[in-house]
Amino acid sequence: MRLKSHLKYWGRNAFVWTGISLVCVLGFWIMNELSSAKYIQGIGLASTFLVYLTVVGAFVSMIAVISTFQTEIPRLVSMNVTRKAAVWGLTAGHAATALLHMLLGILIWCIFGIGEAEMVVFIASLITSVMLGFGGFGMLLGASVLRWGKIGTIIMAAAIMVITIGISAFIAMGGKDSFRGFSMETVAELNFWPLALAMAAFYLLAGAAGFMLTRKIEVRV
Amino acid sequence: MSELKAKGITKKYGTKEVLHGIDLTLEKGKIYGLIGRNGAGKTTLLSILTSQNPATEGSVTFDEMQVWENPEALKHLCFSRELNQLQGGNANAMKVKEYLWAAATFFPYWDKEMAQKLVDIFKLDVKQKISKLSKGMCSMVTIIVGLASKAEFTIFDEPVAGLDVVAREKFYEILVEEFMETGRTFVVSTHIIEEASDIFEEVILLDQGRILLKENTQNLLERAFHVSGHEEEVARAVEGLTVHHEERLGRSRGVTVLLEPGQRIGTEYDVSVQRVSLQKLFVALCGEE
Repeated sequence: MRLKSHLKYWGRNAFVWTGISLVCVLGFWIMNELSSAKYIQGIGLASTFLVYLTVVGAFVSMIAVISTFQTEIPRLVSMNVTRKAAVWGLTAGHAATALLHMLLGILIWCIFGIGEAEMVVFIASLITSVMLGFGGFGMLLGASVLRWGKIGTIIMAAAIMVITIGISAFIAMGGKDSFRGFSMETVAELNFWPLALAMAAFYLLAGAAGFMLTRKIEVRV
Repeated sequence: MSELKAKGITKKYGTKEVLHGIDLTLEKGKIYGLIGRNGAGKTTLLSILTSQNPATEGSVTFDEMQVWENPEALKHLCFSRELNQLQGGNANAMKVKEYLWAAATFFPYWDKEMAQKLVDIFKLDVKQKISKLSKGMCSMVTIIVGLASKAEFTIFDEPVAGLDVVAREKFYEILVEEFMETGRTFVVSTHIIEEASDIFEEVILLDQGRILLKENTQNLLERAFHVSGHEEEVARAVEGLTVHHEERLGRSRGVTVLLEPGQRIGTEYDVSVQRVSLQKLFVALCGEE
């Protein structure tokens, strides 16, 4: 495996996806500030950014990984990268994206927050959990699409529908009280590191599963 | 000497077998022409040779190394094929310069200067998205990747599709120039046989998933003839020979024959004997009666 080539390629991807997240975060914050009906109220600027970053990071993780499976993997294989190297490159690349998001979150908190060390640790674990968890999920969906074509797309659409319905149902049932009691201080007392480690393990297993699903695909670019 | 060898290559899609036990050896330092009708299996075979498609049975080796998922073997190969302007059902949003950057990143012998020179020759706008390119411009991108990769064995699948005649001539000229300078092996799969036949040292004819022939182009054309005249005279002249194609007009008859060693056409009969072009020979061998 030509490590330098992969570092260059996937490193660039990581920065691009992180940049997209940052733009989305800024966009959401502006929308929230300009809107008369505030989507997230009563928490500080730093916390707002972090909530957005976590939510955006989740979507970026899933959508970016699915998209990468469909477009980048076939392209790389057509350029003589082995399927194994391409999938593991994607796995490492997305992990780098998660790391950049984590550093971004810590930076935002340090600039706009009051910089407590415990909060920094909490931010790191929360963002890692979310991004690796959703990234792993995206890996399985993306590999399914690449392996099974239309059937894989149906599986992906069904999975995303289930998630969306689940979240909508949760909010609908709880109403405006769904996020009552949410405050950074309260949530920060929770320990996300076990979840982060579990999601990291899930992420690696998903990477392995992604490779197993795509190890014999035919490539047409 | 480097060799790309396919042994017993069979490919099935479900119950349909599209390649039947193909054995093929490609040697270093030649320009091969791969010709065949639509659906003959050319692209399938080429993609199997370069690990972009797994064979159902058989193996492909490069210098005794398995090619499948082997970076050491793959670095000597390049398969340049028609770009898909869609990605996963959506328009390919990648720009030409990004595509070339990716190619430069992963082809270990990439020649950046050659790539830039070809971009200038073909007057390609590298800031254009691939989805917005014309068919001809897409072909130019694949040609640039194939040539600039500097891979020892470079395979072009229909490289001139959509190119105007000036661009096609330019491609052939650059290909031959590159071959003379480096001795790289090129395999060109094309439907525009007449134009390209002059550059093929060897021609491989694929028909319905089998290799009909693989032969030095010059030798092949020296034994291919079109015999025409009165049907009775023609019948006598080609007695004992395999007739691959026949035309009739009233009592006139024209046949295409491919002589085997020791065979001859009876020129003592009142018939006209003419050499056959590669394209006409291909039609004679693969066209339906």
